[in-house]
Amino acid sequence: MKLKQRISTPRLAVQIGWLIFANSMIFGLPFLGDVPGFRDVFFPDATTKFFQNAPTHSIIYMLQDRLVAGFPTFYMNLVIPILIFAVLVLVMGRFWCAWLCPLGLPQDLLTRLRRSVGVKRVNLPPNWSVFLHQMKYLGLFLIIFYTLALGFPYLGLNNFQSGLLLPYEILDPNRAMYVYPQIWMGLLPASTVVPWMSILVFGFFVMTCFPIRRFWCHICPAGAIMAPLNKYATIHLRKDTSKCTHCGICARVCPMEIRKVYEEREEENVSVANCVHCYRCVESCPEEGCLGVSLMGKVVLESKYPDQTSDTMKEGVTT
Amino acid sequence: MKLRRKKQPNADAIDNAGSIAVDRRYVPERVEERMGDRQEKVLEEAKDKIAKESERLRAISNAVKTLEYFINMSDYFGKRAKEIQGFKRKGGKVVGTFCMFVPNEIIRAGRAIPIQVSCGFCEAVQPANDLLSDAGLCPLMRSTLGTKMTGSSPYFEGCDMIVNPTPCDAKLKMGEILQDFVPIVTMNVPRIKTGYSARRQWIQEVWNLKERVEQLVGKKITRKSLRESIETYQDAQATWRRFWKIREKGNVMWGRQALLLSWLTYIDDIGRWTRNMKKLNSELGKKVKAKDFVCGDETPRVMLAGSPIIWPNWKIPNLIEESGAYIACDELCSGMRVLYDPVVVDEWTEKGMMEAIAEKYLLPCTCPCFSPNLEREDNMLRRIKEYRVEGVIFHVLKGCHLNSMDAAKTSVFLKKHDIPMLKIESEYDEGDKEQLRVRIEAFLEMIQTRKEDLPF
Repeated sequence: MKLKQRISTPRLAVQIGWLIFANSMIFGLPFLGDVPGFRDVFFPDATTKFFQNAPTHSIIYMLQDRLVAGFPTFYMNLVIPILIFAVLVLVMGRFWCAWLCPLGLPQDLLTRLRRSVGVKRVNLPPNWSVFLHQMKYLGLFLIIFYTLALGFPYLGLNNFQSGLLLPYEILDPNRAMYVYPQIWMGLLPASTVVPWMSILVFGFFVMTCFPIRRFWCHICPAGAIMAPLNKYATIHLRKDTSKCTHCGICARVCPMEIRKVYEEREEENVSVANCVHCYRCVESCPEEGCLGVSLMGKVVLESKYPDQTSDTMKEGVTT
Repeated sequence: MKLRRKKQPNADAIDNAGSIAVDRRYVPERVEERMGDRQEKVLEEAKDKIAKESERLRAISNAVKTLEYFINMSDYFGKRAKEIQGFKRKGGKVVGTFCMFVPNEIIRAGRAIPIQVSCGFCEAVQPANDLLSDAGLCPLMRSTLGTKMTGSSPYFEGCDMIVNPTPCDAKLKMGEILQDFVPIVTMNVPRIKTGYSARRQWIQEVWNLKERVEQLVGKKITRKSLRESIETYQDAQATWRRFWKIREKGNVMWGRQALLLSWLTYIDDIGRWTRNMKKLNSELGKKVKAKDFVCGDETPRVMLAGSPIIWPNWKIPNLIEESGAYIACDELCSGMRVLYDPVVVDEWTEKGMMEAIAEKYLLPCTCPCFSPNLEREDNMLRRIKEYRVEGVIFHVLKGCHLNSMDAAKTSVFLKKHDIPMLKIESEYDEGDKEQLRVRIEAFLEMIQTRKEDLPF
C-alpha cells in the first residue's frame, strides 16, 4: 500500500502551475506585470520580483523600496498596500508559503529528490527549531531597521543610498535561482546582474533544504511578516480532539516540525505562527475527521483513513 | 532530534541460553526433568479446553461462513503448529512475542515468523506457582511461564528467540526466568510518553531489536523487505479497520468471535489472515445490508476493557455474552487495538520506516503502564460514543496492578460521563465463574433498567 498523496500531489501541481503562470508571457499571454490593478496588491511570496510576468509584487520588496525612499511622503504610500496585505493574510494565512511561493517549490522538490534517493532526513532538534523560528523575526527587524535608517534624512545616510544595496535584494536566493533560467529562456537580457551574495545564499539554500525539510521557511523574513497573523486567519487547521489517538504522525510528517497539532487536547484551532498550510498532517492522519482545514468556519478538507485498493496480497513466509 | 546510532554492544549481551552460568540461573536445574509428569496434564487440559471453547464458538448460530477458518486456526496443536515445524525444518527462524509492543513488521522483514507466546492455558499456572511460590502474581505471566516449563505449547517450543517488551513488572521478571530456556530480547518500554527522551529511547530499542533479528536470521534486513513487511501489515490494518466499521453499523458478530480474530493476528500468517478477513468483511457487509443481525437493539451493549484475554481462556467474554449482553467493542491489547493504529510512513528511507514503526507501537498505545494515560480515557470515551456502549466491564487479571489501578481511575472518569462500570477481578481457573456470573447479570440488569428509565 502506498500512502495516497491526495494533498501533496495537487499542491505540487499548483506550485508548478503558478511558476509557469508567472512566466506566462513566453506563451503569449499579456504582460500581467504591467497591469496597474494587480501591481498594487502585494502578495507575500518573496520571489515575484524576479519574475517577468508576475501578476503581483512581493511585500518584502515593497517594504524595502518604500521605506528607503519614503520619508518625504511620510510613508503614506505604505499604508494601502499593507492594509491590503493584512486583509489577504487574515483571509488566507500563510497559505501562500506552501502553495504558491516559488521558493517553497524548490524546497519541496529537494525533499522529494532526497526521498527518492533514499537519503535519511535531518530533523532539527526542537530547541534549534524554536530558535530559528525566532531568528526570522530578527532578520525582518534588521531589514526594516536598515532600510529605515537609509531612508531617514537626518541620519545622513541618504548620501550612501546609491552606493549601498538593499539587504534582501542581495541576499535573496531567488535571484540566483530564477534570473539565470530566465536569461537562458530569453526573458531577461544577458547582462542582468546577479550579486555573488545571492549565489552564495542559494548554495546555502540547497545545502540546508536537501537534508532538512523546508529549512528556508524556518528563517524566511517574508514568512515573519505573515506569521503573527497566521493564527487568526480565516483558514486554519482544525482538530477534533475527541478523535485524536495521539499517534504522533502529524508531528512526524510536519515539515515545519510543529508539535502543537499533536499535543493539543483542548483547542480546536491548531494553527500556529509557523504553519505553512501544506496540510501534510491532514493527509497523513489516519483518524477519520480528526484533522481538517476550516475556511471561514466551514470544513473544506478532512483527514480520512488512507484507503488502498490494491488486492496484491503478499503471500506469507510459510505458505 | 537526530538519532545517532552507534555500534555498541547490546545491554543484554547474552546471546543464547547456554551462555548463562548455571549458578546464575533462575531455575538452577533443567526443569523438564521436574516437570515431566506435568506436561501431560497441562496438554490434556489445554486440548480439552481448546476443543470445548471452539465447540462453543461453533455452536453460536447465525455465524458467517469464513469464521470457520479462524476457529480452525485457533487450535494450538493444529495447522499452524505444523506449519511452524515445517518452516523450522527448512531452516526458518521463529520469533516469539509477548505483547502488542513488539514490532512484528521487523520480525517479518527478517523473513522470520512472529508468533505470540503469551498463553491462556489454565493448568500451566500450577508449575509456575511451584517455582515462584506466590499465587498472587499475574496469571497470564504464570501461565506463560508454566507452558514453557512444561514445554506444552508448540508455538513456544518452536521459538528461536523471544522478544520481551517490559511494560509491567511481571513481564520484566518473567523474561529473566525465561532467559534460562531461550534467548530473550528485552525491550525497555518507556513508561512516560511525554517529552522527547521517551520517543528516542524507544526508537533505539526498535533499532536494537532489528539488530538482534538480523543476528538471528544471519541476514541484513533490507529497505525493500522492511517496506514489503510494512505494506503487508498496513493492508491488515486497513482490513481490520473496515471490520470494525462494519461492526459499528450493526450487530453482525458476537464479541467473543471478534476477540478470536484479533488474537489470531499474532498467530496466523498475516497475509493469509488478511485474505480471510477480507472475505469475512464482505460477508459481514452483506449481513449488514440484509439487516441480518445476531442480536437486537434491546440487548445491553457493553465494552470490555482491561487485561488481555488470551485464547483459550474465553471465560470472561463467554460469561458476558451468555448472560445476555453484546460486547460491542473492547479496549484490550488483545482486542480491537491489535491492528487499529496503522504505520504511516512519511519517507521510505530506512530511518523513516523505523521511526514510523517505533512511533506506532509507542505513542498511540493505551497500555495501562503509561502515566499519565489520557490516551486510554480518550480512546474509551470515543469508542463508547461510536459503538453506543451502555456499560463498561473492566476485566482485571488478579495481580495486574496497573489495570487494577487504572480501573479505579476509569470508573471515576466514566461516572462523569454517566456510563456505569463494573470491575471484575478474575483468575484463569473456573473457580470464580458462578460468582462472576451473578455480578455480571446484576450489572446487565441494571443497564437494562437504566435503558427503560431513560425517557423519564
